[in-house]
Amino acid sequence: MTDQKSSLRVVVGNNERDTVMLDFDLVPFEEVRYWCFRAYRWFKLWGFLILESSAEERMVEGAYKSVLDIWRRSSYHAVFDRPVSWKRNIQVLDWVANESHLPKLIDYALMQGIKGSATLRMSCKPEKGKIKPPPTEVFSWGDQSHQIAKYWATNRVIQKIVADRDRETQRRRTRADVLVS
Amino acid sequence: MPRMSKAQEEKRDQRIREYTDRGYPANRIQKELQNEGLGMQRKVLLERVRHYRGRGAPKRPERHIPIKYRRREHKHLAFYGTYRGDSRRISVVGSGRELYKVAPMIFRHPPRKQFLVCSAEELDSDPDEYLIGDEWDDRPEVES
Repeated sequence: MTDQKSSLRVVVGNNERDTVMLDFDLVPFEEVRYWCFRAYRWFKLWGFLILESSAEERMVEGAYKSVLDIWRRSSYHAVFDRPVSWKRNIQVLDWVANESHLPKLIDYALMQGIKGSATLRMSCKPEKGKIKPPPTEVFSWGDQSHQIAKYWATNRVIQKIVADRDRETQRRRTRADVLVS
Repeated sequence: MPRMSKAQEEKRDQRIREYTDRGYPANRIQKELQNEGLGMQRKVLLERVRHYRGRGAPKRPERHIPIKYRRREHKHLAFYGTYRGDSRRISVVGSGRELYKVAPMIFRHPPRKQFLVCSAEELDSDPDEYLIGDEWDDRPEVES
């Protein structure tokens, strides 16, 4: 993991205009699923996929001091299956952000509007001295054969690119160690 | 080709059902229909035969097309990190093979502008126009 950490200079993401993608930062899974279902029904988005982008677990004291509870908070990404225009994409994004009043989602919606395309991370990412692993699938609903299939195809390319980079970094490091010794 | 009467269309449908029940393949059904002067467009015939056999639409029809003739889906990737404390971002568009080719360059060198969009093909042909010779910062703290 430490080897991977030092090779992580660049974060890679999927950059799309025709796919509706949402970033729920530190929102419980039930709430994420609720908003995905609402957007899916309201805009007829054919299907969706929820991915866990990061999870943080800590042991805390429970109600009875002898019992330890697991305090867990996660961030999720949501990808919808229906291909849409950029105008419609922003409409969905803003609708969910406005209805849910989630401050991080509002920030995300504004940022995507400024950039002119929606981006979701697909590789590892260093943050606060730790490494966030790539997002993993936790829930799916409805059709998965259009934009979600495209998402997985892009994901495969990124995983291959990142694996290749890590292999190259490892090789360079081994060569440097040999030269030093 | 003259338009068929309703009676002829019904007869044709009946024939298709009969031949399907007998287990004839679609090509043979078409030949039989043509002999009777009831031939039809192949695409429509296949749909009807599938319907009478109780099968849905074919799955992934593109698998019958050779890979080199298939429509290429272009992928859009965003690479972001920090260079001298400032965030830099480059969006690259291209096929998987093209992106795979340019990725090692981007992993090493940051883009010239803070926000850059280009095609993988252009980047590959002239990397100096888009990328700096310097390297990215070691540990970026980036916002996605």
